[in-house]
Amino acid sequence: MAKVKINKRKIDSSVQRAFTDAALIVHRNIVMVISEPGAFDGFEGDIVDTGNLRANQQLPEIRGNTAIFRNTAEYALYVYLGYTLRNGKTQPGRPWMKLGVERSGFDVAFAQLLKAGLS
Amino acid sequence: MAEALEVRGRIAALLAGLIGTYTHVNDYGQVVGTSLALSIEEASGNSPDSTVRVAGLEVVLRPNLSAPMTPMLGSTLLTHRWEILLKQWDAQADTIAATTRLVGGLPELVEVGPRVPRSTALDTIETRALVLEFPEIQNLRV
Repeated sequence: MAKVKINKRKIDSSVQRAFTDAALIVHRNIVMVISEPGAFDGFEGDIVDTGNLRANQQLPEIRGNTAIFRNTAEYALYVYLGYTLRNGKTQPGRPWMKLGVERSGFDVAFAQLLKAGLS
Repeated sequence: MAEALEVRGRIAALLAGLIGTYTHVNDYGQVVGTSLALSIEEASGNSPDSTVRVAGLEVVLRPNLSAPMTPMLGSTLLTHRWEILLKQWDAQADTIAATTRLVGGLPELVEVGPRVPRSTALDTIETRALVLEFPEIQNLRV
């Protein structure tokens, strides 16, 4: 009879570390989008005005296998989804977190970090 | 592929009693008629038209915003995405009841966006976006 074993504790720890680090890469991309002029069609400038939106972009909250990204600026929802003024004019949304996630290549980053952590 | 007028009719039936009104005025500011505040918008833009006044809940149907394609063994699956934009011009009301009826009556509904509440600081009205999907297969190979 022969046996092989895996170090499950090391694997779990490596997965969690890689996931957290990959989520931080996503966070950095999200903050970069806020400061990027022309990131969204129809907007030549960036989203930064007073810097409050950028300052309120929270570090990711890790819950199990989910990373949650939030912005706590009071008006973040309106900038993100867009709004309609009472005079009828509309402002399209600028979903900076969605764009930041798309640009991050999270799956690739996570796989690379996990591979490095297990080796 | 779904037809905009047919979908509009279904929305009108589902939201009977909830939809507000368009009041149409001429160049002299005289009222020339009213209609249901349910419109089909082919391209985004500012609304309402200066000759139209809106009261209550306005529903804007935006057909064919995008149509991602998925190859399927020689055929192509197009997923037509439409948007329903609810705009509540009545400061004492909201979009909740309308959303509930649409969720219950439109099987093509795939996304319900968050309520963007009215803001006195920004002078905005409450809005909410919902997304419909209509699949279409092209070049079907059997």
